[in-house]
Amino acid sequence: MDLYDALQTSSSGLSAQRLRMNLISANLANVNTTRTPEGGPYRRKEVVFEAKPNPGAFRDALKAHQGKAPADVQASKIIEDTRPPLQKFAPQHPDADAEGYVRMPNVNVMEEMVNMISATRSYEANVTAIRAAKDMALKALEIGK
Amino acid sequence: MNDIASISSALGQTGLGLPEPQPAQTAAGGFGELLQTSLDRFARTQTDADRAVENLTLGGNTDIHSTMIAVEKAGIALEMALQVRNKLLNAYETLMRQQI
Repeated sequence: MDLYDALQTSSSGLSAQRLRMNLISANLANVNTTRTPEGGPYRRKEVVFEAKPNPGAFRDALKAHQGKAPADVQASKIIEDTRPPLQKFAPQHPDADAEGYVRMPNVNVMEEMVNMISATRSYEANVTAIRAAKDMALKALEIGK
Repeated sequence: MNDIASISSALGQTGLGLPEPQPAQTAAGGFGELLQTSLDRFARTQTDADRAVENLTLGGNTDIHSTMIAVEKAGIALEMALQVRNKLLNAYETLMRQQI
């Protein structure tokens, strides 16, 4: 059913924004982390999204092939920020190098806050889309009343 | 189309409408089958919603929005089933009001 396609697409959008929010939380939580299993300071993580045709029946698959079907969003991969770690002078720190500098994560708190606003607003937009799709379906059912 | 056929065949049986050579059973079976399929689909949305809520409360699935969407789908399906029932009852009452 077409309505359920719209709900499915919006649902994938909600999942995507939630994943983004999880990564922002991880970045903020690890803003002072100097040790990781891979060694070195924590590196800022970010997600790359890609459009994926709605899974469904053969007819939907054919439409998707022709580029006519709505596309879900899915996380393609999680990448690490390649910006160099920040150098902080703290000779007493156990992770300091020979010159007394500690390599801190390349996380900018303000940048993360802005991304958080963006993720929250996108989530709200998807919720609004779901509500609109639901209202349309219920309006259609009012035809029979 | 099927319900119209079943109504007109019912009219034929009561001797009010045009005489219907076609046996009433196949038409009724066609519509009944359709109704059964949509009822099954409706029941499935209800089960899906139940399972989603159960998963969420038991901590298996922490996807709040999937659960909410499943519940909403079940709500829309219920509304749809209600409308179908209303239409069926209307048709039945219209038939029963016929002057004989």
